[in-house]
Formats: sequence, structure tokens, C-alpha cells
Amino acid sequence: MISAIRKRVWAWSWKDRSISWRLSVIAIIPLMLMALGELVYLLNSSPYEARQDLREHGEILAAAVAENSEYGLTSGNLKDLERVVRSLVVVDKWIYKIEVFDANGILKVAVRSKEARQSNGGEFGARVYRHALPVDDFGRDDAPHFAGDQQERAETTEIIGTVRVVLSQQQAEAKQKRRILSQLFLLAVVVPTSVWVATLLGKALHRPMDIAIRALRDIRGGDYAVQLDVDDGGEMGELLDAINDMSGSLNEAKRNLEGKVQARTRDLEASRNQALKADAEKRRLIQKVDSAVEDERKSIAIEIHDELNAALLGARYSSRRILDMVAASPPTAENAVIRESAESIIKVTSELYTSARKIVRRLRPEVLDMLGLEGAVEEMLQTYEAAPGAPAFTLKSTGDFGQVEGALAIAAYRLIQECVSNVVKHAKAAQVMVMVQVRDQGDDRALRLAVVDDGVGFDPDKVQEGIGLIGMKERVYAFAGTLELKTGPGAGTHVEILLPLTPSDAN
Amino acid sequence: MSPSTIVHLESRRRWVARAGVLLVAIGAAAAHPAPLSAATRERRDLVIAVADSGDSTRKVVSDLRRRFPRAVVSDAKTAAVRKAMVIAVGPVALRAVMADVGEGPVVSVFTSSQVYHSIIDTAGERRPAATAIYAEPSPAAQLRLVSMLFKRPVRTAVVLGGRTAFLEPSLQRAAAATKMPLVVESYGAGDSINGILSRTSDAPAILAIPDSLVYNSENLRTVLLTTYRNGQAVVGFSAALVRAGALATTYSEVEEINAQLEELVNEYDGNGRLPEPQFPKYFRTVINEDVARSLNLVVDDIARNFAYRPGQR
Repeated sequence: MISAIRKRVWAWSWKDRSISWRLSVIAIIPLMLMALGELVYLLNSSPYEARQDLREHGEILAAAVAENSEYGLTSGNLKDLERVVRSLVVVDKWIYKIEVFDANGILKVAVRSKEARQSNGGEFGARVYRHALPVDDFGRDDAPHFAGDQQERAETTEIIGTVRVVLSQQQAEAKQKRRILSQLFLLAVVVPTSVWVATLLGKALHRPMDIAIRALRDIRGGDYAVQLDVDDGGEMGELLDAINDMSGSLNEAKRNLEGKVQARTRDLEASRNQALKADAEKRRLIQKVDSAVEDERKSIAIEIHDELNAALLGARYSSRRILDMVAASPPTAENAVIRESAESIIKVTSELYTSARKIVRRLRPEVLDMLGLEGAVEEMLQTYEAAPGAPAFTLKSTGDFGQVEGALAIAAYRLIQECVSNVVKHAKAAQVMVMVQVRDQGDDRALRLAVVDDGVGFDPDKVQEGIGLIGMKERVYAFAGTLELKTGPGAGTHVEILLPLTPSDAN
Repeated sequence: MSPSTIVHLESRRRWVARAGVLLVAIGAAAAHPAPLSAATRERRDLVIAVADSGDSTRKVVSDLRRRFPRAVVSDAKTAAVRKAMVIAVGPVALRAVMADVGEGPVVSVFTSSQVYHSIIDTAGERRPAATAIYAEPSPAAQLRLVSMLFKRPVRTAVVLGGRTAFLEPSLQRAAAATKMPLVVESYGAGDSINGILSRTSDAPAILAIPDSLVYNSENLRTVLLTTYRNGQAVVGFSAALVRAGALATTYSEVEEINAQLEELVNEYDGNGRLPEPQFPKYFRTVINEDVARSLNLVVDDIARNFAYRPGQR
């Protein structure tokens, strides 16, 4: 538990922090510790230093007064000495009282501060010496006298008095307070300044790291063309150099890879273009085949219409003439046979003529040219519906069919024809819905064909595709359309065809 | 110090002094002799009496041996050459020579006037004829130096004690010669030097005549401080006192005293008359430039170079 808390605190306090934060902490913590130590020392040492200050001050004062008292005590000029001492007491607020005694202990000068000071700062004493000059006074009779540079006398001293200095503790305490306040003020200035400087230094140290990290992010983002200005030495300079080397290597590898990809892409595009070209050629081929088939159908239809139907009409006309001639002749057995034969020929030729017309209509739906796709489909459905056992057909057509013509109209007609034929032949349907829709809204320009029946349907996985479905797919493919077959056993069949309605396709 | 005490001290120092004198004699004999006058070279009955072997005494003896090669350097107590002229170096030697009654004259050198007169006064009537070249500077020369320092006659105060009272007439004469207003203050028993100095505080200059009753090493600092505070210039009486804070003084080195002594001996040999005690004739000047600046005195080279050297006219 404690370990986990410690780890969490560690992670919170250090692990997840930025480098600039860590650097700042590294710089600031010793500073704060130093400031704390200084503060503790300051507070603890204050009384001792106050006593020390008092002692030093008192000793210095006593020594100074003693040194200055020599003249006064020797010459008897005590007023001058008192003036000096009084000025000292006035100027120095530490002094409570100064007394000067002669060698016999008689008080000669005593000056006490006129301010309300306390005498609790301690007493300090010093002896007053008279320093005899090392000058021959020519009064000795134990050695030769010289007025020149010869000098054999040593300086001697004699105690001629004492000085007693009594200090007041108030000034020492006030000084300590001022000292503490000044130190605290100094700390208050120095610590924030140092923190600020540490932060600046941290940022300065963090700057190359930040540059390195940004560069690595760019590299990670795929920008390998990173080149850093290396103006730092040491490890940071080495790191930035390494990043430059790495980015250069990666950039070169990227260029090589891109070259390979581009080459491969070019190959694929070439292959794709070839495939597209083949596909277009295939479509053109299918269209051409379909067109040839239609042309051939048209030619056959024309041949049937012009030759066979004319011959059949001629044969029927001749048979009618035979019949008319037999009718005008006396009834005989022979005439009866002739009449029967003529009537049989008329019947056969009529049936052949009807069949030929159907064949011609199927081969060459000229109704498409006359009625357009919508009318041709309607006429086709009426034809199928007229057959015995045929389902009921419903046609729904919408859109502008004026833009559906030519090969596209023929293909659409044939596709509906094939679907309806399959329904009639296999679906055993009762209702068939045929929808022809021209969609022309913006980019959605297409001819939609749908044939939906309620027949038996089939399993597309089990039923092999017939020639008719394959032909439908080829027709749809030739016009870059789509064909969708939805069916299932007992679920009817839904054929959905979408043919793009583009100028090129229309042509 | 009583005579009995002196005798006692001398008996203790005798062996030390004899060894010192011997060393001085050996050193002097080794020195290269300088050219001498005919009278000096021929004089054989000259005794240099010394009582100590200090560096200064050895220097004095060395110079005297150079000047009087035939002279005998002797311990003062054993220098009894009945008809010889005796040169007593210092007060101890002088007292010893004066106590040993001889027929030759005695010349005292390197003894101050006050001590010389004290010894002479206590020597008794049977003492030998004596004269002296005092150790301290000539008051007349000092007064001339005062006039040179101030470049005008200034009121000059002199404090004379009982031992130096005899100098007053000569001081007055010297003052008159230099046209210096002289204030002579007498120092008697119970007087305070500070009191006298306060009375003479209007005198710009104080001529300090060495008198141990007036000026001594114990009160010289106070005297210097008092005169400094009064703005007074102290002239006197040794180079050591100038270094301690006096303004200036004339003084004589050993060679200059000895040169004067040599002239005195020659004069005596020439006319047989012993001259009166006299102050040093040859001297030089030392000035404390710091004190001069403090007193706002502009010292010129005339004062700095104020001197009288042997052979100078």
C-alpha cells in the first residue's frame, strides 16, 4: 500500500514531468534548502551574534576611549576628554555610560546617555596607558647623549587610568532585528530571482531538448526532411546531430521507397490502363457483336418481310384466286379437292405469314423506332400477356425517354425482353411488375430497369446460369452497367439493372 | 643617582667595559688612518675615556681613533695618566674622570649641558680643569632655524628649568641677534608643563631646550599633542623628537662633534688655554614635513639645508 502510494507520488511528482520542470526543480530545491538553512541559522544565531556584537563593540569602544584618554589624564585637560566622550555617547546609540578613572581609581569623567537607554548590554573596561616616547631627554647620566639618529631607548608604558563602558542592549537587539529583516528581504529578493533564473536556465537547457522532441515528432509524423541547427555542444549537440543523421537516413530510405512505389504504381497504372483498354475493347466488341447481331436480325427480318412474307402473300393471293375460280366452277369432286387444298394453302400461308411477322417483330422491333422504348416495352408486354396462361404484366415507366435511343434503347428492350421471356417460360408467376425509369438528376443519370415477379424463384447457387442470363450480363457489361439478381426458392425473382445514361454510352 | 651608586654600577660593569674597550681599540687600530694635522699626529698624551661599549660609543671611539691615532683608549676608571688630556665620552666616563684627580684637562663630549653642569657641580674643588662640547644643539642655531622656518621673526617661547636656567643670557643674546621676540618661562617645582604651555599658547613657536625636569619621555607625547592643538611649532632638540612630532631641529652627528673636538684639542695644544664649554658648532637640520604641512608652513630649501659642516666658512 505504502509502496503503491510512494510510486504514485513519485509518478505524480517526477516521473511524468517535463525536462524543463525537472531541471527547474534540480536548480530550485538546493536553493530553497540553502535559503531554509540560512533562515534557520539566522534565527538561531541572532542572540549569540547580538552578544558578540555587544562584546566587540564594548571592547573596541573601551580601547578607543582609553587611547583617547591618555592626553586628558596626562595633561589634566579633562574638559577636552569629556567633550570627546560626550560626543561619542551622543553619536553611538549603543552606549549607556562611559566613565574614566585615574590611576588611583578616582572618577575623572563620567558621561551618561540622555536618552532612555537600558544598561543591560554589559560592562567593558580598558586600561589607559601613557606611552613614553623613545626620545632621549638629555637628562640621563648613565649613557652618552646623542642628538642625531642614534637612539637606544625603548618605548615604555605606564598605566595612568581605566575606562569603563556600559552598553545598552536595545541597539544591539534593534541591529539584530534590522539584520534579520534585511536578510529576510534579501532572501525574498534572491529566492524568487534565483527561481526565475533557474527557470530561465531550465528553459535554456530544455530548448535543445524541445527542438529534438519536435524533430522526433515530425519524423514520427512522416516528415523526414528535418535538419536541426546544431549550435550546442556536449550531449545535446550529439543528440541533435544523431537526429539529423537519423532523419537524413530515413529521408533517403523514404525517397528510395517512394521511388519503388512510384515505379510499382506506374506498372500498376500501366496494367490498369491495359485492363481498362482491354475492357473497353471488350465492351466495344460486345457492342459491335450486338450491333452486328441486330444488323443481321434486321437484315433477316427485312428478308423475311420482303421476300418470305411477299411470297406468302402471293401464295395466299393465288390460293384465293384458285378458290374463287373453284367457287365459280360447278361443284365437283375435283373442285372440292381443289377448294380444300386452296383453303389449306390459304390457312398455312396465313399462319406462316403470322409467324413470319412475329419473327420479324422479334428480330427487328421496329416498334422501338416508332414508339420509343416505353411504347415498345408496353407493346411487348401486351404481346406476352396475350399468350394463353401468361401472367398479368404491370408496367411502370417514369422519366424522359427521349434521351434513351439507339444501341442503349435496343439493349434495354432486349434485356426486358429476355427477363419477361424467362418469367413466362420458368417463373410460373401470376403478377409481373416491369419498371422502366430514366433518372436524370445531377450526376445520377441512368436508365433503371426492374422486373419483379411473384413466381417460384430459384436457388442461384444451384441453378447454372443459362445463355440468356450470360447474354444479359454481357449486354449490361457492354454499357458499363450493373445487374443485380435477387431470388430464392419460392421467393420470386427480382432483376435490377442500371445502365449509365451518358452521352458516350448513349452513342 | 648618587655617586656611591655610580661607583657600584661601574664596579659591576667594569669587566664588560674593559672587554668592550679592547674591542673598540682593536677595531680602531685596524681602521685606515686619515691624514692628520702635525699637532694631532705628534700628541701622545691623549686618553679617550669610555665607560660603555654600546654601538654609539664604539662609533665615537672609532672616529676619535682615526682622528687621534696616538691616543690611548682606556676605561674611564683606569685612565689615570697624570698629565694627559682626557676626552670623556658620555656622562659616566666624565663622572669617573672627574673623580680621579689628574693634572691634565678634561674635555666632555656626548654629555648634555645639564648633566655636565651637574657633574661639575658635584665634583668638588680638586677636580681637574674641564670643558665640554655639549650633546644638545645650540640654542642660537635653533633660534636661527625658527626664523628660517617662519621666514620672519616670530614670538618664540622657551621653558627653562633649574638645570637650564644658565642658558637664558645666551638665549637672549641669540634672540636679539636674530631679532626674535623671546618669551622665557621658568619651570619650577610643582609647575605643570601643560599649564606653562597654555600660558604660551599665543607663541607660534616653542623652542624646546632639553631639561629632563621640563621635558621627559613621559610627557613629551602630551607636549607635542598640546602644541599641535594650539597650532604651535616645536623646534628641538633631537632628530628622534622630530620623528616623534616636533617640527624641526638642528643636530650634530658623531663626526661633527668629533671634528669640533679635534679643533678644540689643536687649539689647546697651540695656546695652552682650555676654552669654555660650548654647544656643537657643526650641525645639520632635519624637518618633519608632515608637521610642517599640518601647521601650514611652507618650508624652503634654505631651512632644509641649514647646516654648518667642518671646513665650511
